[in-house]
Amino acid sequence: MSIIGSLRKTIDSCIEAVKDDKYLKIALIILLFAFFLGYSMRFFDFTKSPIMGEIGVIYPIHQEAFPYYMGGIAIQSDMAGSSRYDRISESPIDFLYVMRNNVISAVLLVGTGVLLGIPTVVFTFLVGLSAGASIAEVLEFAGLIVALKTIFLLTTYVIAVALSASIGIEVGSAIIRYFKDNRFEIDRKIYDKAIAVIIIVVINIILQYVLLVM
Amino acid sequence: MVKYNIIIVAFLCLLLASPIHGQIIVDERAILIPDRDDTAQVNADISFIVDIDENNMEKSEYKLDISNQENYSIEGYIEIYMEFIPETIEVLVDGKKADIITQEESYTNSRYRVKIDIAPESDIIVEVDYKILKTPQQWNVGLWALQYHYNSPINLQFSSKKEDYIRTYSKYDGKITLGYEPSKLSCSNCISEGKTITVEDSDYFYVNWEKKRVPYRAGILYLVMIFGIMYYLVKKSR
Repeated sequence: MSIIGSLRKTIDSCIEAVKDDKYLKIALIILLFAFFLGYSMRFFDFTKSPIMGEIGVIYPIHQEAFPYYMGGIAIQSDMAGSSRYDRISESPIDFLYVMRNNVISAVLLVGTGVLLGIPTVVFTFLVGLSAGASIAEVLEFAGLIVALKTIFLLTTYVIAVALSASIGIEVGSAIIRYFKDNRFEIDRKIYDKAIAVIIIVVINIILQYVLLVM
Repeated sequence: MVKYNIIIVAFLCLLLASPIHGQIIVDERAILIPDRDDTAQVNADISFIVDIDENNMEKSEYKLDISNQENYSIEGYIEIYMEFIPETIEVLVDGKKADIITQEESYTNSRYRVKIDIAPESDIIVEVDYKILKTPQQWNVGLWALQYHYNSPINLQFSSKKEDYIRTYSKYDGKITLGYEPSKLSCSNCISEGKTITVEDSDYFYVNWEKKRVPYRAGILYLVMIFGIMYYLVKKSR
């Protein structure tokens, strides 16, 4: 009971910490605009393959979901016996792939904040773009269960990315302020966000592995 | 500096004009394209009927009339390359069911082989029937149209104890019928007319086309996003 209570307290404090956070808002705006752009590009066949779908660090869920819905692309109709082609090849993805790409993408978004936050913004945009382009393909060709799993995993991944990006942007802006005022100040909330990122990334790794890879 | 440039250019000219360079090209050609008169020859008249229905289920019937014009026996293989695992595949050699050797079988690439022996100056009839799900090109998946490609899955390879190289002359005659109206159809060594593609007296052919579709599922989410944005803009403008 005490464990559940402390976990709930931690989650509540994390939610409180991210509320009214301008850096988180910036990260979410970048992500959502890029997502809409990526989705539009894929929906109108401006691009006929997911943007940077091969690069797992940008958006690992595309490669994880890919073997499941290639059958859907092949069938293109509700043919009798279509379940045989639900997963047309063995996934080349393993636990290391899932762990590596989730950890590195979070570290990348946070770590590149030291370069005045510019690479963080660029990577956040690329994640949104790639995720938008990928999800259009999954929705169109995957079965309902795979599509629902992918949307759920996308949501948890976006939370991790938004939090990581907000930390990166905050670090970047703190460095810019340091150049201007010769003072290095960081809000204490950043530590709560960092803890939340670590927890969510670990949960994401487990969920992605269990739901799509295992 | 100018001196060095002149020397380098002169060296390159010498190298290109040297008889050794020319000899290599002539030798390679000699290896790749042997003299027709000195080479053993097998003729294959391939007729086919391919029917691809609106669910992209392909039913194909190939009939190969292979004739050995030499006065010694020739052995060889019929290799069948496919982009998917066939539902059914059957090969008859002179009316008898032949053993199919599976070389590779996966949902991206399947290869089968049938061994055939042809007696001197004689013909054999090989019939290849298969049913397979026709898959679109997987590296270029459009939401509004899927691209398809078709060429003959039949490949012939022959050898003999007497000759190192046996030339195979294949001639295709047949018809491909699609169960839907194709768009952006392009055809090499064939004639397309509506849903029917005809191949006549051709040693090679390929067809590319697109199948139009409407992305309903992706469209629903797109409309939801558009309505969300519109709602937000209207709400903020007031």
